[in-house]
Amino acid sequence: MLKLDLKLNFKTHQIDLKTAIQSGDTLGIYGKSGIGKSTLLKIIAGIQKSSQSMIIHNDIIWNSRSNGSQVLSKDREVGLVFQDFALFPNLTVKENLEYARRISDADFDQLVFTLDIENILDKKSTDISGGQKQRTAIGRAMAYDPKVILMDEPFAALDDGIKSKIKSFLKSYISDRNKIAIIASHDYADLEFFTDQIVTLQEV
Amino acid sequence: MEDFLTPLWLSCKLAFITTFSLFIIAVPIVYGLSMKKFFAQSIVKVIIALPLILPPSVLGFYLLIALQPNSYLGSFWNMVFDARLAFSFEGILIGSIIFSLPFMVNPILSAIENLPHHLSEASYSLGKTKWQTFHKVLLPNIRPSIISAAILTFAHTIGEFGVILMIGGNIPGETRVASIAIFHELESMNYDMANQYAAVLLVFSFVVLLLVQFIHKNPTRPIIC
Repeated sequence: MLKLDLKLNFKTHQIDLKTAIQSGDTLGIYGKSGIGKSTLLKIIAGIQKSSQSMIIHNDIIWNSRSNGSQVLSKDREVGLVFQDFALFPNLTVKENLEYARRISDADFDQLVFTLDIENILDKKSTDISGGQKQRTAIGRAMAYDPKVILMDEPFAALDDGIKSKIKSFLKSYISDRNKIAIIASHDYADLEFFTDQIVTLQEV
Repeated sequence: MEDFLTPLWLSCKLAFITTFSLFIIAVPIVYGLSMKKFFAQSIVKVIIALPLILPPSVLGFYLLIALQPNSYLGSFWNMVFDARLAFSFEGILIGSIIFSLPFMVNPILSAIENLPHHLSEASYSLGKTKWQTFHKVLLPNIRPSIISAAILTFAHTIGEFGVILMIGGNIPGETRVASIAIFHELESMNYDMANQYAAVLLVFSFVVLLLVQFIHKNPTRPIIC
């Protein structure tokens, strides 16, 4: 279980989010651009600090308000799909996945097949389209076999056909493997497909 | 002809060893400055950058003091190698490494600091350590800057004069590098020979700067993905 008690202060608004997500479940975060969805995911991933937030994963305190102690990002086993993909430009698609990879050969082959990136594995990540980058970014996070998967606008660059295929794959992946997932999106319908536990962020 | 080539060969040898040594030294320095936060970080950056604005005579003076036979370093060197450090090739090599340090460190550090933050963030979130992130993600993505830094360091070493003259003097085959040879030939009123050395260094400097321009206009890989 992932317990979140996040308080974020922006110049124009505040975010106050208190919730818990069970293994196999998904939390949807809905809100317009610039509201703080990405910041929230980065705090959960441990790559951005927050002295006012409490995050507990399976009784391990990741973030604490009282003493400010923080489990390092590398020790959280979180797979983060960045809104701007954050692929490593010096690596090929395959090398990007291999950099993160903790899954078996069979799972790797299945992942590559499902994401339809078999034909671009040897291409540099700078030489592929936006949709292909999006799929590679999703694949890289999943190749890490994370306990918690965080996705920031993961379907924004996908065509409709592949989008529904990947959404179905992700949904069964999360429930079948008991992953905790948090998806941030400005598309409410995308979030509804995964969960009815949707938090709407808005300026207060 | 051999006499003419010896200072040029010495310059190249000095520049090559300096550049190679500085690359080895610069990587951990850049790692420390870019990946760690520590007290007096700004002071360290200032010390590294000092040779950029310090008169070579000032640096040369202090190095001469540090390398002389009765100094700690000089006596240690003498004890281990049974040789003097001041007025030797090894002495000008030490001076050259210190004098050219900012030419190697600063471009690499600047390039690392200008990389998009999401690259290191992505690497950390995938369970990688700071060192793994540094050498597997950050360094490979600033390859053009590393090459430029190495070329500039090499070129700067070839052109060094003040520091080398102060700590190395003008010993043929030992410390008389090309820039010192120009000075020596001028003092000997041998203008033709001085002109030949100067022309070689002029053409060399022009080609080096052209090469750096080319690398920056045609980076081997785009930085932003």
